[in-house]
Amino acid sequence: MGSLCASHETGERFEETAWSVVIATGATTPARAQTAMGELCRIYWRPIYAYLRRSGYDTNDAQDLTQSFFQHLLQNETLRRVSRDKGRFRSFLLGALKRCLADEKMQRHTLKRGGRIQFISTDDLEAEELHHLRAVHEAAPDEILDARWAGVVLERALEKVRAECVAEGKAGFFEALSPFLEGTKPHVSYQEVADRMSLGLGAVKTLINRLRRQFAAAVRREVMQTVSAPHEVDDELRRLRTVFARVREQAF
Amino acid sequence: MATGAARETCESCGATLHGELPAGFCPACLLTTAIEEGEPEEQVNGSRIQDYELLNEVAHGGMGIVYRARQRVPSRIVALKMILPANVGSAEAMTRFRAEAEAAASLEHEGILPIYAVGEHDGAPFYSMKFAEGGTLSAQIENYRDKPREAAALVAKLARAVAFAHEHRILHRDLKPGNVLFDSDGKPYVSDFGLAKWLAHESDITQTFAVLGTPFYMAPEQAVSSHMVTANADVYSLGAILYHLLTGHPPFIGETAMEVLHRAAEQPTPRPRLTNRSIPPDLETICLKCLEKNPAWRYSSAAALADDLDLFCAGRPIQARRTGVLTRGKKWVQRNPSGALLAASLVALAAVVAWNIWKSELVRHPVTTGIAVLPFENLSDEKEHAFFADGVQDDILTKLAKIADLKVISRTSVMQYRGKQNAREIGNALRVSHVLEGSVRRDSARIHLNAQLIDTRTDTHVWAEEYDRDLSDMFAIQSEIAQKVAQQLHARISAAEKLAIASKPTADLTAFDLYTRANNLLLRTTFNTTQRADLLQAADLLNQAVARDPAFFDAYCQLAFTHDWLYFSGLDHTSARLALAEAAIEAASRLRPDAGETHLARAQNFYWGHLDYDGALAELEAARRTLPKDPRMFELTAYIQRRQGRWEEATRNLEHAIELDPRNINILQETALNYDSLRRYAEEKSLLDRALVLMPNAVNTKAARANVEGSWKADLRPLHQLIDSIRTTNPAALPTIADYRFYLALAERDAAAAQDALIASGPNPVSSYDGVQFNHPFVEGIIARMLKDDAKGRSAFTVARAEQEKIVQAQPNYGPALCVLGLIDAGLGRKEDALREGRRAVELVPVEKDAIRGIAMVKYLAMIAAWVGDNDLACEQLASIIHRPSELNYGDLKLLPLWDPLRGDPRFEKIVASLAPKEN
Repeated sequence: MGSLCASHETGERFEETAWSVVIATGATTPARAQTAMGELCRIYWRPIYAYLRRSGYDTNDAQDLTQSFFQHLLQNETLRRVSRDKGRFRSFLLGALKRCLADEKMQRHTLKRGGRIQFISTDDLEAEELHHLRAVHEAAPDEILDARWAGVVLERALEKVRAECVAEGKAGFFEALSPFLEGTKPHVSYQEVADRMSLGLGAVKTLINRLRRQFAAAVRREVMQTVSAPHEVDDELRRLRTVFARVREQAF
Repeated sequence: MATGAARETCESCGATLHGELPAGFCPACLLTTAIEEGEPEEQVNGSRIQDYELLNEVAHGGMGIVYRARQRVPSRIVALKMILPANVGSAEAMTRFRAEAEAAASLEHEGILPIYAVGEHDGAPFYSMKFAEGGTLSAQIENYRDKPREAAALVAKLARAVAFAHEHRILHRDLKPGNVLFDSDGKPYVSDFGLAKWLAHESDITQTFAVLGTPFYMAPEQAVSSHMVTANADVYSLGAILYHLLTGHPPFIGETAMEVLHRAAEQPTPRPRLTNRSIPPDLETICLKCLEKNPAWRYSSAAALADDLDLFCAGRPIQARRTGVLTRGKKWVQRNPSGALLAASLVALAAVVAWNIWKSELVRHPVTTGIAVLPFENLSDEKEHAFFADGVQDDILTKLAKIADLKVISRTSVMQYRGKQNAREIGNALRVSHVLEGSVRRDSARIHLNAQLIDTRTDTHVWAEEYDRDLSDMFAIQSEIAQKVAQQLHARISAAEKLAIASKPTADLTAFDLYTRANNLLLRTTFNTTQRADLLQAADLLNQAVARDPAFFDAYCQLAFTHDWLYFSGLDHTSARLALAEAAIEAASRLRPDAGETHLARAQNFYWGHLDYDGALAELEAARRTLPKDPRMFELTAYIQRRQGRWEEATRNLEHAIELDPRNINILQETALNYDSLRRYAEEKSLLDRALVLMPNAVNTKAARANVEGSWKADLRPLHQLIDSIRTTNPAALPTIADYRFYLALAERDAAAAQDALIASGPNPVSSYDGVQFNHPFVEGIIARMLKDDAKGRSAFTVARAEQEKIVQAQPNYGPALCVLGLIDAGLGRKEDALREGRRAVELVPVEKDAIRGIAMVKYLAMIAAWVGDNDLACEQLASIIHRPSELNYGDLKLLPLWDPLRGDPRFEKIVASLAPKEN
């Protein structure tokens, strides 16, 4: 009998993430479904909100529609019918959102209600508004959604890695070395960092490599939760990367 | 690195930063890191997962994906089954998965597929196992049909393997031909032990089935709860597999999981020898013993089953005894408590309604030859090519539909299957023997197209082809595909049809893209409330298309359709709109005067634009020669026929249309209306139920369904309950059924509710399907009258009158507007005016000209007469229409306060009684 090899990292905590939450919303107990929906909103409201703002809705309407959108998804059992064989969660959300917006009735009803979304703090909302104001004007709403989506994924990954470092008592390392997550820095040398951290050059390089791999793994786990096949992870990452290239081009 | 300042550009890649991420991180650079640092030894082509190089995908199901992979050390080919993260909800799920997988991996038996390793990659669990070159039993199941001994021997081996697992306290729970694999020597193995249990733990039953697939081989008690499942459930599955090997199909089939299990629980197992007399009786006995509904009556163990199978193979007498056919079912019901529980659970779990529909449907209509062209998957990167795949599909579908000898499902019905994959289910649902599916990618100059023709009865590929060509060859490719498909289906193609198939709709690809987008919009209008905006946008797109290519015949035809529909539906009932329709027809006619589509467009215009039935029918006759199976023809013919009062013929034509366009909600609803007017209420219910199976959340359809009892038996409870339940569970949907709420409130004489309903309907007038619309002040007047508040009623009617007068002045010959004016005048006590207007409305829409609206005018005249106190006239008018098919029904007459002035009049009561439901 072949040996059972353990996975290369151990004891990872799995939080409830996108697709699994979607499945949970199809669960029979309303309580669980509501929790799951809340989770979805909490994670993915930003790209939806950004899309709506870019589409021309003002901040109040965008909030209302975002909330209504997620509620609509839940009520109409769209989530229950999601085909898990194909399709990425991101495309699914975008498609569902467009269909929702095309539904005049939903809009009319939504805009009458008014009121703020309960699950988003004012700080977060303000932060998101800032994003909206600084975003490239020529970028289409779809691209804005993709860009914010990437933003959410990367932030979550960064946060996870930071938390891992803190748990290992290495918070300082993360602060000092995280800039190198992007690659080599033209203006900062490894030697400078080594000196600052009172470490050898070789040690610093090793630490940086490890941190990069940790980060990459965290990003890939985030993305894996939103695609339907492992080989789509790379595809999705590349695709998200091209969004920034496009957004960049349009600035010129 | 400064943490506070916001950077403007990334030092590394030069991208402008827009504050996407905190601390000035550059998203592009971070993503690059994630891509490059993903795995050690990451390759550009192919993928690696730890020690394995993924070679190709072997299967892709609800639970996961199976790859053929090469392990590095030791070097060998393995199968890698990866569970989709979707099914791993939490850390505990992951732990549980490992536990199940490791337990399964500990089983070492020659009949159990060995598991080599269990691991996790990017958050998704996987396990590697021996790669079975011989494929699954599903692929070879036909080979055993006339070889009962071989079938028995095979199942005996499987049973031994399962028995071994049982001894180690591991149940399989999902035994099926897909989990039986063969190696290159033809040795059988059972795989995937324990997965089903792990999955069932995580999700509720409906989800489990969504993942595991239709449970043709599953023991019925498994649906109730996991606690009831014992080793005998696996015995049942083995029996079901044996059954399939012997007869060519599983013991119970159905559209949905619930349906299959319901049958498995309720119906006696059809004896295999009825399908195939050459099956040895002993083998049948063994098989049926496995399939006993009461687990206690099956073989006590898989080993016992294997023993009996061995005895059979050796030619010796078997242990099992035959039971009488008739007693089987009764025994189960009486003595099996789990059975009753099962039945109750299934009723609770399932849509019983759906069960009843498909029960009758499946029995009557077997799958016929025919094809559905499913939406093609769009693999293009560019947003501007988003509709390209739809255009390809539409073109292929249109070309195939030109072949008289082929049944082709209409586009409306197939678009709902976008992204779905189960060919067999689709084939069953649409009743076609084949589906065509594929994917398309285009860039600026080339098109890459993949197409497969699948036989839905066996779920196998019949033909597949890949095209990699210049973009300008696009239509040629589609013609080729259409030809090949027709060939495969042995359809005769006439010379004219060949020519039609080979033609290009247009040379301008941009124009074709505009046309495709318009078509998609036009599809949506059949069950969507943004009709007006969609239609106007479609018209705009089509205009752009013909501006680019003035020879684009198909676009002109669609344009004519769009304009005519805008006119007829009342969304833009102006002569300007009609003129636009006719201009489009002219253009089409100049291009191809004798084409079937031209005749069809004319027919639509004659009917919708001019109510010229004879003209329309003549054009339809001409169209039929070249478009013999176009569902629009049957539809249009039916609509005309019923306006002519030829209801039975109309119904038959609608039924033809349904056959070709089975998922077209619009047609189903129109046919339901037919039944309603014919007062064939049972059939109406059945059709609406069918529509609800397609669109379970269509609130309007639910209301129509609940209302049948109201119309038929004056029983308002179903509608009342429905509205209450919508109010609590889905209040956002209330505006869509404001008309029904209003009707209910009137019938229950609840003025407050009526007021609420009025407010809820927003700015829209309250309307009924015969085209008559009540404006708000008029409705307020009615409510006031109900409350006996004459002063309020009067003032409301006065306001209403002013509004209605404007409408009548704008359209002086439009009966439905005039009769409402008459009713208002009657409410104001202006008897002469009211009667004059009522009569004039009747004159304007003679019953011979329009059986539907004409009769409605007579009804309103009767109502006017009642309101002004002329009972004679009222009863006379009602009596003249009461026996004809119409919207008039028992419920309305009995319950609505609108008819109150006539109550007590013996003539009226007699009329009402004549419509009362007969006891049957």
